Amino acid sequence: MAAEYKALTYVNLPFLDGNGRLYPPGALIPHSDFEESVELAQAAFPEHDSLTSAEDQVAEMIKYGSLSEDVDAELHPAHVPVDPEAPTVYGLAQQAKQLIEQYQAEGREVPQELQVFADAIQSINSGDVATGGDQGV
Amino acid sequence: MYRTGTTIWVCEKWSEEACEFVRRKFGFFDGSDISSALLREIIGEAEVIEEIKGNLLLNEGIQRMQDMTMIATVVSNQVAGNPWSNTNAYTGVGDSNTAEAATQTELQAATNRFYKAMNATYPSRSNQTVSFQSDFATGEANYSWAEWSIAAGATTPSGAGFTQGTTNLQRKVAALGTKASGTWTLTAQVTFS
Repeated sequence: MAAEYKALTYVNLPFLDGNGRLYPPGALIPHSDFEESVELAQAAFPEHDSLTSAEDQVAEMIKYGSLSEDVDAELHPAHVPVDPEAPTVYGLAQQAKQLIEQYQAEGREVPQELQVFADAIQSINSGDVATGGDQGV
Repeated sequence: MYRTGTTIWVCEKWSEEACEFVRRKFGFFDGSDISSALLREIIGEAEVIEEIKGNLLLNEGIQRMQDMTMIATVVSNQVAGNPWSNTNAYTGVGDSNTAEAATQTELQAATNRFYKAMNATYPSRSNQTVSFQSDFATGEANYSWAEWSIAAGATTPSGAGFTQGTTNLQRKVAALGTKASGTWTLTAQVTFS
């Protein structure tokens, strides 16, 4: 058990401050805040005999990548800002297609790796429609 | 405030006595489900109305909204069966007090969780507020209401509902009381502004 944990995503501890306290990605959350949240939950639900303890909450959230005991841990990818100029698979595949057209126009042999990469985006488009992708990243 | 898509959760609680009055008036079977629409018509306003503000938008819900509405390259999700529509949206309630985290993909209760389909005409929009509403009838979700959510899709049937939500827009943890019987109606008013 650590004294504090790094939030790798948005975490809201219920019951603190009345209606919950929000910690943004990168914030440090003292273990005592989890304990206080559970104590307040017990007060709100005196008849509830299976409330989740602070230790179990922390263990579960570490297991699923919402918290870390390592203050240098990387944030969850969903919260890392994306560079709008960063290359995308789609964009690179488009460039590969343009290169292939250039090779063909010049009568040169198209490298097999280039052809495979250019075709890959078509496979993604045709094979992934309406499947998965609904459990978050 | 940020990352909330401001939500007001309204829980209307009609007692078992109110439900029983309606059953006798119409000659329904003992223990039959009584809808909030009928209770409103016969009894009037619920005996108890609770309001709680706030929620945490979950990553999977944000991503589903983005996939449904604003991507150019359709790789998944942008299909007719995926929105929070009347036939595909569910209100889920559970008894877990586990903190809200944006990476969560489900209510956190191990066993006591239940997703119920939308009432007729919900979700509905007024200006920038979308309202979701479900009735939890006398035999449904009878435990402490400590967490709740709006899901797009649900699986694992249980009675007139389901025990697993597919893609959750948000999750809220607070104390709404302990349901033992009667009809409780949960309405989520989500405002993006």
